[in-house]
Amino acid sequence: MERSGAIALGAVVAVAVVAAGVFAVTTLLDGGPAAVDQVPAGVDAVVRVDTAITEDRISRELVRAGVESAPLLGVVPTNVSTLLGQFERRTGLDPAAADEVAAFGWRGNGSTTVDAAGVVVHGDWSSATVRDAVADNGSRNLTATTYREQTVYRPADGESGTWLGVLGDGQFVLGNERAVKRSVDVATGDAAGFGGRLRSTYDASEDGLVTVAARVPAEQVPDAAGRAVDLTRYRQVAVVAGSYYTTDTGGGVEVRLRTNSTEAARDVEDVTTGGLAILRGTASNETVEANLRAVEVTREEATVVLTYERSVSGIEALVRYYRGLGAETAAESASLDRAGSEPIALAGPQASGHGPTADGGQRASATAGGGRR
Amino acid sequence: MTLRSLLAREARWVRHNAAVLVLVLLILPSLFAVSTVAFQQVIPRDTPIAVVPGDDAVTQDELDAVRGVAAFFSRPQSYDSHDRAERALTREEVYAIFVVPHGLFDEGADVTIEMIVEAEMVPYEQPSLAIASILSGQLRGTFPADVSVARTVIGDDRTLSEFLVSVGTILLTMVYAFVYLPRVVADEERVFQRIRVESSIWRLLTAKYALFTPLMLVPVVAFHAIATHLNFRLDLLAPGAVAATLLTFVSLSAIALGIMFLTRFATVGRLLNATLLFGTLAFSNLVYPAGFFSPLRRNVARLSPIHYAMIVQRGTALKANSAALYADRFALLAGFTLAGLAFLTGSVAFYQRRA
Repeated sequence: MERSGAIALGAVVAVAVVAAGVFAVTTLLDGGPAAVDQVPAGVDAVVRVDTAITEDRISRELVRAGVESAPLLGVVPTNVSTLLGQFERRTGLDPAAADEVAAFGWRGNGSTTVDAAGVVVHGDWSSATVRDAVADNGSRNLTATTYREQTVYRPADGESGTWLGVLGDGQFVLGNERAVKRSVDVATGDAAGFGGRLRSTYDASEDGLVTVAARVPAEQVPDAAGRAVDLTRYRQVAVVAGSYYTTDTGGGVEVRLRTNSTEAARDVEDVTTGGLAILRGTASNETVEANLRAVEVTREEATVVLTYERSVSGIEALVRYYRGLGAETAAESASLDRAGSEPIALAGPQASGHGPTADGGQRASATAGGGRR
Repeated sequence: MTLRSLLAREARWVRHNAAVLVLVLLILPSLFAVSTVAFQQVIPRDTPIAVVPGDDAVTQDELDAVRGVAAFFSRPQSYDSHDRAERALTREEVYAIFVVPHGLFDEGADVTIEMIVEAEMVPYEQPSLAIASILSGQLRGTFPADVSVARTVIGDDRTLSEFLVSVGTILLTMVYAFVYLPRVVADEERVFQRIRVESSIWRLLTAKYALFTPLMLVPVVAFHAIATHLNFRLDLLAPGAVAATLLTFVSLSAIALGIMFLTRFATVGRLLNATLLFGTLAFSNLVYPAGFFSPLRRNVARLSPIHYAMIVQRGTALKANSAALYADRFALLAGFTLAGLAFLTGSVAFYQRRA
């Protein structure tokens, strides 16, 4: 990969790597959803998936286009489909019947990824259905107990594995003992849900199909990406939140970097804006440059916001470019079978000229229309 | 008592305390002036710097790119004109100017980023050299063009000693304002207790200021004499510098005396003043550029009127700038002084009501 590509992945995505780490977390989960309000306090990461994503037309188009090979956007559909697929395989429950899935976890000592602990699922199932599913239809034994007057199924004596807590009608929490009990505490009002900066950054995120928020282990942020872009400034980022959303014609990602102070955010803003400018200036490929131009950096007090929104064709062009790179280097050309598709569109209609605040309303409504059931 | 007799009284006091006055006003500043020679450097990280386009051809991407690289060791601010940036430089709103050339992204082009610093800002000299070399290392391979960094020094060369003599006058003025004058007034606490009529207190305080404000010129003159003797190139008697020094004295001593009256001359008042002295010393960034230590320290310094008094004094005494360049800073200092006197008025009124 040439320099621009390498730094593109380095600088911009390094910021999102933390978020990507959280997505990786979701694959560790036993599978299952958690409504965000039932996520306990003190967690290091939260991922919420609106299961409407499984029926979202734009998301399907992007997956068909092979979006997983594009940086930034690529992590979303890949991980979501893995998560939902795993959920289905492990429980036999149809994820489409769920309304909402919220996974959460705590970070182990010195670990970059969060040890996934629990998933809250809201869906149209009976307790018995879910219990049987968690019990692998008889291959495991669950013992019904009561915790805070809620039904909790724990692995039978001598067995280990997933616990299941019933949070309410059609509301469940799956995971380890700690996760299940803490979540029940929240559901019964005996403990507070997750809050602080993690929550406020999560709440400020664009309402999307996938929303992620994670505390950043500052010491894990690398020193630099490339030579010029100093990532030590990113150590001032306390929380990263990201959301993936679709509009009628394309998709977008918003990444929020919540720092400790307005000053720190200015540093992060400058370094990020400068890094993008260098990437744009050194990009030898017009497709990459157009996509980099679609990334906007703004600052809201102590939070730096990166937004990227492109039409499907614009994203496809990027995907083709990166696939092409893969083909060159690995010589195992993923067949570029987008026959008949238009020549590379350099800039989608909304690639430029839209500030995030200016079209925020349009975006939200587009998301609601295109992404939500 | 009339003002005239009070002044006569002050004159007697000066005769009786001549030795102490010589020690405090003459020996101390001299010692300080000599001791300033030894001072260490540290590495900056959050000092404000200006980024300006070299010409009209420079693109936003080029400016953003340099801003991004500069954010590593500074707090970049964009200026659209070179003149405005240089004005900001000499007013210490920024401590370096980066002139961005066009052609950073042109393969093989030979371009130079000019880094302009002011010679008089002595403590920034070594760091700026380090920054220039770090920067040129970082730029290599980042841009398609062959980018080099040229460090340009404008203004007149000054030694660290010369720089610190300028700092010393403000520093000692602060000591007099926070420690010495309150101490003198506290010694006359009984007099204040005896005087019940407010107007008498005012006359007494007016007399104190009538004596001590000109007296503050003694250390300035002493500094200047020593500096001249050592062939230091600075003019501490420049009108702007004297005005900044006296405004510093009047404003801070008004606050210090206000605290003494408010605390009814209790020890706590003195401790409070000592704390204020050290706080102002530590957080006004008199020696080092604002943001040298941390962004928080920079913001605190930017809130301190004494930070600006120092900049004005340094600008007029060391850089030989015209006082008019600092008109807004003088307005701020005058406002601060009035606020200090208002505080003193309020606390004297409070003192009398409770007497």
